Amino acid sequence: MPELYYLGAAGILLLLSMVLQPNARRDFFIALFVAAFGVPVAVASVKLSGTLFAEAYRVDLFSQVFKVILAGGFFLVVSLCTELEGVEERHHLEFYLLLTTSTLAMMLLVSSVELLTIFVALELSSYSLYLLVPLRRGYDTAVEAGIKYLLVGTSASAVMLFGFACLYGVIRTTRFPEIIQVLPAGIGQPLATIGLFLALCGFFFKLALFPFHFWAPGVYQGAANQVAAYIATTSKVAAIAILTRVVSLCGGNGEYMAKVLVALSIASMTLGNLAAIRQRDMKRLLAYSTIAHAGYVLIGILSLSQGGYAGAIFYSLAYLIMKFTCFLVLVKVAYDGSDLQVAQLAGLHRRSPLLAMALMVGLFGLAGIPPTVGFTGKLLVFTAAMERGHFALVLIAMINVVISLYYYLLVVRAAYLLEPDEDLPRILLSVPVTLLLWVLVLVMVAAGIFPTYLLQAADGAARALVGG
Amino acid sequence: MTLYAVIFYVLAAVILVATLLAITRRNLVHAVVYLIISFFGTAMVYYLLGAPFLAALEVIIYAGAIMVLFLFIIMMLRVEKTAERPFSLGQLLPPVFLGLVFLELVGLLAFTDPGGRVVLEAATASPRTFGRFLFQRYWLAVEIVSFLLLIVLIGALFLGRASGRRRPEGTEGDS
Amino acid sequence: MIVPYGHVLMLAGTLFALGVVCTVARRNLVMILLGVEIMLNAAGIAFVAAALRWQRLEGQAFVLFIMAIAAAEVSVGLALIIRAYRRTGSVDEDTYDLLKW
Repeated sequence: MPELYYLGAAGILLLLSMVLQPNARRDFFIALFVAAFGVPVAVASVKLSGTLFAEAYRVDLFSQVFKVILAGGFFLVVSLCTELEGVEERHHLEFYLLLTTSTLAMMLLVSSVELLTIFVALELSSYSLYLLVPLRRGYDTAVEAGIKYLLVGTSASAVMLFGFACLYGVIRTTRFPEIIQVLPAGIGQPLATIGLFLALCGFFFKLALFPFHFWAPGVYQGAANQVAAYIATTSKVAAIAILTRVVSLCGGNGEYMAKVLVALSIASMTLGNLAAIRQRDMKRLLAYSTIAHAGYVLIGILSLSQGGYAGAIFYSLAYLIMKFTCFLVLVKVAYDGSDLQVAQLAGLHRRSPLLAMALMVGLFGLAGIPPTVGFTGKLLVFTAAMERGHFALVLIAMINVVISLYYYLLVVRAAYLLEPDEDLPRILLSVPVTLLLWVLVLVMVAAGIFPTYLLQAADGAARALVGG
Repeated sequence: MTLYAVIFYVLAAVILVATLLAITRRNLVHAVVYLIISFFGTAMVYYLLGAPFLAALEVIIYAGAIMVLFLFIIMMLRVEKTAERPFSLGQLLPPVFLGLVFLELVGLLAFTDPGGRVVLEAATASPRTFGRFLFQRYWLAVEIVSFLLLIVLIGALFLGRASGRRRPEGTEGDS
Repeated sequence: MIVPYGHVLMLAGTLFALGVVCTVARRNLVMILLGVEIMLNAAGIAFVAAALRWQRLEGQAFVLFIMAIAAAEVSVGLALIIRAYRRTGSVDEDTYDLLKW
């Protein structure tokens, strides 16, 4: 099982960090090897199913599919760390250790079906990230970002705990299989609804959904580029997974809660898209884009139907790939680990045509232009919502897509049309990175045109969630 | 009104007053001490509500370790007196408003919810029962939390070291 | 026969609200962290009350883990505050405006 593999990997990294002298190249290769090996382990265990630990932990297609996505995300982010200029050299092994721990915790999270286990796994992944953010060389903003991240995160956790307490006070148990039997009937009680909503606040924080979104721009900007990439992609996928699982507890009956989620989704999308327009720093722009996408994914989840959940799962995978591509370009252009400004992208199409094209495809995918996979994802999510009658919501979402197109095009324009003041050198890419870029671009386009394979995976996962 | 009920209301009053005082102090050390009083009250509430083991833990961990850690850091950084005016009106109004709304909600829930009328029966969980329960049902959570504490230990060690000093790279050989 | 469950929940709720006020309205980083501690404690009271209501032990197990997490949070939070203090010389929140909200 992948969790055991990552636990072993974390242990090995821990031992190595205490014993070895820091050496950036060798550390990177160790981490890359560990991460690369994790992906086939995760894929091989997709078909497992069962429950463990007195039904606190459930392995089903839903959780295993997400574990594959998480393993993939982890591998991709580690592959970004070839130079890792942003982190002091003697901290490299701890850096990889914390990333591994966070991935391990997220895998535990997507398999947890019991409130206490969810809480503990969520905290483990969050604390790994709180420790990763300040670990940046030479930037005072990193410590400030770390403090803000920690304070907002622990407050959200406290709110979530109070929600759990309310829920537990109404339903006698903390285990999901039993909650599913009791909650749909009991959702009418005010304590249950408020408890559930407060509990969701913890996950809203991780997903950067309004009203717990305000940490994202600061943290993305302050953290090292690779850490920001990890938080933006893998962490969000885990948040989507657990949010879907918890929301599906309502069993399709939570009309009132769906209304609240609609409001949050609209607020998140609009706020994210409007604020992104004025951003000059690339990472902050991507952070606001993340907030907007949290709103889009929520549309799929709040449809409370199997199709909606499948759409959300598909969207999370698509989002991972697209966001990661943007971050890959960012890391390569800002090779000394600095914060990238949009204006610094000028002349990218001459410095490295491949990077510019990848950026363009990634951004168009985020905007939802056909034939990229981003468009397919949005299509799935919107149709699921319309089947449930949320017409106004979909309309607002489509308006938001148009708004987002504006700032994505600004970035593309900077890469293609602007000329830099001085002559900047060509960016040379090593062979593996070039290969990775081509693969990403191809996947983004191909999965948009022929999504059947991924769709089947998403559907199966959603069915396991609803049926089980 | 049984004796237990009287004790509970007295304790509740103590906790609330102590916490209210704690959050309005300008002197940080005073605030922490009031909070320690509040936590002692909470520990006694736990004992009353049938969790003697948790009451002991609350005193040991919360009042004993966490608050003492706060005191250490406050005294180390010498920030006993903050220069702020704790409650200028503009700052105070939104949170208090939110707090009142929240209170109203909780009050509504507590008094309209049919479950809210349930009177708690006195019962006690002996440490042995609690321990057995914990390790039988929540073994995975225990393991995860121990791992978390290990990671946090390492991380806090890292953050606390080498703070404020900029070293030229490559001079240190240890990790 | 102690008290109605609702009354204990009111206590927990009020305590939680006090914690929220402390976190949101205070400018000093240490006080913000203290506010989070108050919130966690309030959640703990709510859990113990719920556990007694249903005469089950899960709530108490939860409180144990809340305490552990609170301890972890305080260590990391204070370590970060120390680091920030050494860099900038103050723990007033207003000095930390490098990153706009």
